[in-house]
Amino acid sequence: MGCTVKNNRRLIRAGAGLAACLLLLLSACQSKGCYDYTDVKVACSFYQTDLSKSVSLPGLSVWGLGKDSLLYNNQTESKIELELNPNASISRYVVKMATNNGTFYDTLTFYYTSGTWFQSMDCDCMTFSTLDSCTTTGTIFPSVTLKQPLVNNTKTTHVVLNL
Amino acid sequence: MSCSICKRWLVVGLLLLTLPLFAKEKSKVKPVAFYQGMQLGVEFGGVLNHLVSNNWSTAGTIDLNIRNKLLPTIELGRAHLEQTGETGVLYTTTGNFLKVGFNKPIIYNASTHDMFYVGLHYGFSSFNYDLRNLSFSGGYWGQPTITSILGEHAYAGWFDAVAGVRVKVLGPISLGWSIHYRNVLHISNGDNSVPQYIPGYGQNVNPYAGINANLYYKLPF
Repeated sequence: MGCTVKNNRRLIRAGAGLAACLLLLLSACQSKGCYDYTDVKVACSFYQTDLSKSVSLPGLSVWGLGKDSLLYNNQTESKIELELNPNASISRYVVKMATNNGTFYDTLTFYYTSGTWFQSMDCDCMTFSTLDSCTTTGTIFPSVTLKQPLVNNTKTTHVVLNL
Repeated sequence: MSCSICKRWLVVGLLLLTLPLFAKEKSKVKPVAFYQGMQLGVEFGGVLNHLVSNNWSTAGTIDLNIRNKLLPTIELGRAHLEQTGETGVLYTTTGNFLKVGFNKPIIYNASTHDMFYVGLHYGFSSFNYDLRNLSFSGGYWGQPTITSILGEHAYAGWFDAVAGVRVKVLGPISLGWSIHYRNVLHISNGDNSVPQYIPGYGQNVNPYAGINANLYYKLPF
């Protein structure tokens, strides 16, 4: 009887020791670092209405209205990705297209509501927005199609600029 | 060694823990009464944590002993956490949790009620949390902002696999500790955030391991 009790205690202690090692092993595997995509931008693609297909536009330069820095500088792009001002409900971008036939300007205006989204201690917070509408001056893009109004950290096309 | 390999070895190790413990001599087994008593327990490891930080957790448990073979368990607890991230974000949460399940003694000493056991539980928590000092740059528009998200509410449910020991120390008093392997089954986020800590579960990562220290009192009836 005494031997059985002693054996039980030994087994219990052995099991406890092994369990402690296993716990240390697992605790070392807690995930660290941000593994989520944290870039939040409005993605605008270009669509040629008479050809019924997406196209790339040459000689594109894009900058925010009232800003000096260029997001795109005389580049050929099939899609442009633009940040919305998190402290406003309207963001405007100037699009310049330099072609052999001349230089054309258009202004994209985004109307939206924004909210803060906290993802994790490692990824910190982001600003997600819901687009209410998007307008253009019609010089380059006669019309706009709002495809996905929710602008978050999911990669997708939100606005289609029709040519 | 990657985390996924470590976790697989942990599961294998937990299973191997139980294999040699089933070896026992065959002997005449006396019939055991259905009800073998009830134990009240308190988890005190989380309370000790309060000595060195603002974080604390505690829980009370009740378990029934059925024929020394099964211990249905209910645990009710409360936890509080204050955590500062590397970017200065301050996360605070307080909430209650409830766990129900059963433990099964793998080794059991009927005279001293010492045991090595494994168990499976379902846990649930409903909690509030706040986030302060959230800062993000304005990006292209260049207007940094500091903000807070207050009064978020979330709830979560998880399964909890446990292995532990319980040893009699004096009269009806026993001490024990247990390790827990937890995985969230369902969670509802706050309106503007993902909760970082779940009371009763731990950090909101899958899976999550924890260790509890318990003090037990065997009721005289």
